[in-house]
Amino acid sequence: MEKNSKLSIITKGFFKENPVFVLVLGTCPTLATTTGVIGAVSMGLAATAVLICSNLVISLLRKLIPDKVRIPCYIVIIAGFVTIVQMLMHAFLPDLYELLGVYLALITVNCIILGRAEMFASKNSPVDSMLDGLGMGIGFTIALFLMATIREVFGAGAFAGIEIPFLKDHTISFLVQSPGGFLVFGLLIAIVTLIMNAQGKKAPELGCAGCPAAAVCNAASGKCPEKEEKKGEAENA
Amino acid sequence: MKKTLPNVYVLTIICLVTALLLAVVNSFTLPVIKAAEERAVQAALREVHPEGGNFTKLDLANIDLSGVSTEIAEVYEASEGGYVIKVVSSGYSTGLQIIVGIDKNGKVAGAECLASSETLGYEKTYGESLLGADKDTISGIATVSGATKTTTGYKKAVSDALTVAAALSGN
Repeated sequence: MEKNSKLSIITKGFFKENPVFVLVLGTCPTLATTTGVIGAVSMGLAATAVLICSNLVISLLRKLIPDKVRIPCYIVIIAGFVTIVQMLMHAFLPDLYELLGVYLALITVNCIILGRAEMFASKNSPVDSMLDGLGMGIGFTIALFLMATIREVFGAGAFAGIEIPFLKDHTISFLVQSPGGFLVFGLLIAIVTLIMNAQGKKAPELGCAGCPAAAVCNAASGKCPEKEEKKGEAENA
Repeated sequence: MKKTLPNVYVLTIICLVTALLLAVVNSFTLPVIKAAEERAVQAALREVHPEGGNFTKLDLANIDLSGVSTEIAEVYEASEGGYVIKVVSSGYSTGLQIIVGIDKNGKVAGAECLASSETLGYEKTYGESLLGADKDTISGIATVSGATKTTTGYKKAVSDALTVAAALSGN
């Protein structure tokens, strides 16, 4: 039973609560780094490493971090791990470091990482938090890989930089540009939603608590702006 | 006041521990990064000026940099004639580092981007369009539509390198 629940913590990020296609977090790096498979998978793995480490540390410190300064504390911890990953990649994987460019540093403000810190690591045990980080990281990497495969294969006629006969002469270059990214992103979300509907599953309703900005808006005081707005509308009606 | 003190302590301790960890990681990654950058610079010198022979670094204090608006970071003199000049310009972001090889006739023998924070990648290929240009003809070479800031910054860097090379060779 325990084993099953640990496994479900990891696997929920793959599909049921996929951070990109279901929770719709981390959209910026998803669109920006999916023009090529190598860049996308590298970004996914770098974010996974940061997710696991930051979830572990935040979970270990969850009883020591005061509620009022938890967001600055989380940001310092996440930024620290991102900088460490950045330094290690710069030193030992310079080609990947150059490929990811500015997006590597931007992992600090990736909503998935802050979102999981706030939603999961701050409330669960270190082991569970690490498993959540691993599952969400793998889910993020799978999503980036899928998007990058479609965009690179049909947009550039190649896979991981290796040219594909026939397709390389019949590319849809629109797919590797920004609008193409949005199109593929939207289509994949639609497909995932269709599959979930067919299986009778509903996407988790996370509401304000699921928003990485929850701590800095009214949700922190127990007043969800979304709910307040609906309440106001109902009263007016 | 008593309630806010623990907040300050915890945040300060987390910041200090993070800074310490970063210092430790930096202490063993920085030498590797510096060595790799030096190797990249040496390779880039030969790449942008293949017929230059051996390169000697010149002291910037002895070089006339008037009429140059970008930052001239390093100047190397080639034993077989010509110069290789490292320029720091700005494109969409700051820190667009370009290395320019200028042959003994004052023409661009090669130009490469060493480092940048640009997002589209045009800085990696734009140098090819500037090959053979000299300080009189470079202004006529077009920038790339959709990456205007990057390519304008790139062209400015090469143009300034040509100006410096001309001043050094007395032309």
